[in-house]
Amino acid sequence: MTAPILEMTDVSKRFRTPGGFGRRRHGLLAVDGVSLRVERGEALGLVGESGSGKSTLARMANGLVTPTAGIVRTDGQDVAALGRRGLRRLRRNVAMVFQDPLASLNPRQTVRQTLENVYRAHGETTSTAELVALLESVGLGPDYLGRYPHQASGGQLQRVAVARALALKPDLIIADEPTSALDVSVRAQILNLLADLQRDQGISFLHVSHDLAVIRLYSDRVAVMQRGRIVETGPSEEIFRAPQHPCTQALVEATPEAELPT
Amino acid sequence: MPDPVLQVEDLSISFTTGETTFDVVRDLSVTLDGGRTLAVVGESGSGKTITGRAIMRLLPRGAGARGRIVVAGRDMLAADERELRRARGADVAMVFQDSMSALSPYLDIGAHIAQAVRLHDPSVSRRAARARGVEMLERVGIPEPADAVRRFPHEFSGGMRQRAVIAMALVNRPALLIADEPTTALDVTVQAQILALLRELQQEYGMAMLLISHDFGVVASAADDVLVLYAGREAEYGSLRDVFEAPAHPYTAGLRAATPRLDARLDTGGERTRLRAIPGAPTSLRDAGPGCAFAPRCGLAGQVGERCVVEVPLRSRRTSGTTGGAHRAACHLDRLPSSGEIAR
Amino acid sequence: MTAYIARRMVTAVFMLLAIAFVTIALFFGASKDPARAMCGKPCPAETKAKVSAYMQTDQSVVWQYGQFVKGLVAGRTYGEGAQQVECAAPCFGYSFPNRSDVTSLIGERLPVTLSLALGAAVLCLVVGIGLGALSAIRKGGMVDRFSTGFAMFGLSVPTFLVGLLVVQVFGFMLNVLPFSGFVPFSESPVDWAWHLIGPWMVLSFILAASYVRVTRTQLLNELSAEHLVAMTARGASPRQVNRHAVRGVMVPISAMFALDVTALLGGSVIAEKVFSLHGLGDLLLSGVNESDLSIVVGVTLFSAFLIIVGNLVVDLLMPLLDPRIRRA
Repeated sequence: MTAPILEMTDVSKRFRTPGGFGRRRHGLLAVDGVSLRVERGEALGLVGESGSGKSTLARMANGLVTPTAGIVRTDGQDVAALGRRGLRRLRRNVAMVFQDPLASLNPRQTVRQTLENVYRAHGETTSTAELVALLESVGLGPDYLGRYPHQASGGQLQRVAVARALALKPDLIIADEPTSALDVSVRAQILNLLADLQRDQGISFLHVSHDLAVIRLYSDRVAVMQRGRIVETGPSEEIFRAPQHPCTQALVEATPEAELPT
Repeated sequence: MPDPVLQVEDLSISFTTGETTFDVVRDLSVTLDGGRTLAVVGESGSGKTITGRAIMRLLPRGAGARGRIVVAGRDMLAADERELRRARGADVAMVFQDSMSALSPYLDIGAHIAQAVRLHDPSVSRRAARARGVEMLERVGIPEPADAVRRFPHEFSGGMRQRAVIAMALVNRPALLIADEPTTALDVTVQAQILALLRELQQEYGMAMLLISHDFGVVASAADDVLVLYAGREAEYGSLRDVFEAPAHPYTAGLRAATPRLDARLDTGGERTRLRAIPGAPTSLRDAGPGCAFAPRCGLAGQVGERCVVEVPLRSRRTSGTTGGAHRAACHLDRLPSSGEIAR
Repeated sequence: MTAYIARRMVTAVFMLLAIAFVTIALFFGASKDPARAMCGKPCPAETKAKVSAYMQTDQSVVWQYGQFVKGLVAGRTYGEGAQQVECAAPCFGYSFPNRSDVTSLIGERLPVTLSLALGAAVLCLVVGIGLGALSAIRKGGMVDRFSTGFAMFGLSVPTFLVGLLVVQVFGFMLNVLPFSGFVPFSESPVDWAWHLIGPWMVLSFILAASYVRVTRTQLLNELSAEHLVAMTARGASPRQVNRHAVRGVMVPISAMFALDVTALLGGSVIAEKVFSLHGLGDLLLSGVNESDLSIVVGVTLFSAFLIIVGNLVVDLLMPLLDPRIRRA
């Protein structure tokens, strides 16, 4: 039996608010005792409103945020026990795609430099042929290698960001609102690209989004977060057909339908 | 029949930077009656936001508008500075996408509303104007309004702040409200509340609303008519039902197919359902070629032939109109496209 | 609020005590012996030891520091009999070369520094904000290009060079301004101002550069802010909108200004030297030259105290100007 690619057990995160001389410290409990697992090859959708702690949870999965309590395991390994080198290995195994592609790419680097830096950071070299193949896998032509971020559209940049995540052949991609900043007509392209990667390359996904309709289509299982806790989990279809928790019901209820009542 | 609240005729908007002048919006015509909502739908480069601003003559430096814009009987493009000031905030008001940046960080909510009142009626005392503010905040559903007027923008949640912005916009009972992505920055549950509030106030005040949005879900739950913009031009116009159920422009049909829906039945034949995606990226009028701006992304351009690439399609009536209202599209295709033909 | 100020004051006292210790320790780390300067030439070892004992500089750093703190609280006595010198509490030290306690020395020098600082501050504010605002309003125009260059120059030239240039041009070549000396305000306000125009120009030129830059960028940001578009949408006139834009500029400018004024009040060594003004900067310099510990510690503490107060003023002022900084 293989371990799940990501397993979080009773994980909490409390953010310290700045204290001072003679002042009491208060904390903000962003994530409160959450347990969650992503199986190999699976796409898990994490939904919730802003402030529900979903981004914090996602960031704990690849060590960007250290949990206050609980255990995070990727590929069966305890992340807290990893040293510097281990953490680096973790980061090549668990890649991240952010919401705003323009903000997550260095404006002074060409696409080629951006991608080469990923390899260099992990002590590897790469060839132009490899980079071209990488771009092709996200649907971009070789001419993008020489481009700067401002010379491409939002959708193309998000493809570059996905290529960067794919460069080191990760097992898990954490996508934090990967299509929220994109135009409607481009969103579907990126979502389909991510779905293809899951199907063809067996990459697992932790897909964080506030958009229930997107999560429903592109996740196998769904976890619903509210005020730092997971209030409901289950197979995607079931959750949306018969939501159990009031929070899920409210979310499903409030999502405006792009459909007219008949 | 009363005159429409908003009449836009052949509106073109251009930008000048240095030596070059280029259009970002061309030949828009629209009328909107009191009590009705027109949704302007578009993506980046479509010109939907700048159109909303042009109606209030809130164009940035270097931008100019041609054509005719009549709001509540006043020709906005011919109006001088004083007349414009009288119209802004009284005849036509605006609700912005980001309520935080639309409010001054240095003034409390009461001061904002009082300012809106007193700019149009200086005889109202500051105190009376703030009292109006309390009333308005109560009307838009802010709890403890007497306390809330003294709070500053950053002390509100996003939803409550947008309610305050709505209170400020409606305090002078404008005939036209321009709502530019009023719920985009909000959570879905809050979004539903704000849309319901806008509908309710619209009915109560009988005002016309121009709802600028990129989200078909929002449009479906709020609009009477829909104007779809692509690269600064009208792609399609019609009643909500016509545009949604019988989209006449391939772009509209493609957008509908690319929008995920919660209620849609899924034919789960083992493999997961995917959305149909429109290839390519939205463009702007400046970057568009000589023909139809959507042609490079259109799955039907091949069927029509060269015309799509060389000739800008004119708006033409579509006979499919089920609701009796005007339904028109700017497309060379003489039949309705089906979604499967556009997107893959 | 009162509790907050009290807490800040307590922190400030500890900070000043720490600064005093570091200053004393650094002074004794230096190889110069203060007693040598006092005992005259020739200086037999025996006399020097006597002088050392009299000035109490023969003891350890820790002892010195203890005496200093004791002097602050209870006053301090040097020597005995006919040579006894009293320094009443709060005693910041006694300067033997000047035969005076440091407190009154600082008091003597303060009017000069005060005149210098306040005039320069006002001039810098007027020039800096004026140029900055003009260049933001006419961005890319002649004024903008001039003031951007002005700011660049002001930020990169050292004070002494500007000082010497002003003395050379206005004092010697054009011969229109006096280039040294100080006339108290109470004697003749006109002469007072006349003698200070040179140093004011120098100091404000250097300082104004950063005000030009901050005002320009801040006003440019503010003028394109969405809440001002919203204000126009409510029916406000351009004048009303501009007046509102100024508020956003005033917040960072006031913070900068409060800190700059306190720094100026601590004395400006170079400008005072160039124009032969006997202010606090000049006092500090003479203290260093004559190995006079009491003066060095006294002036340092005085400047540090001003800076701490300046920071406190800024922290108290900011919430009034910007409600976002207010604490619940």
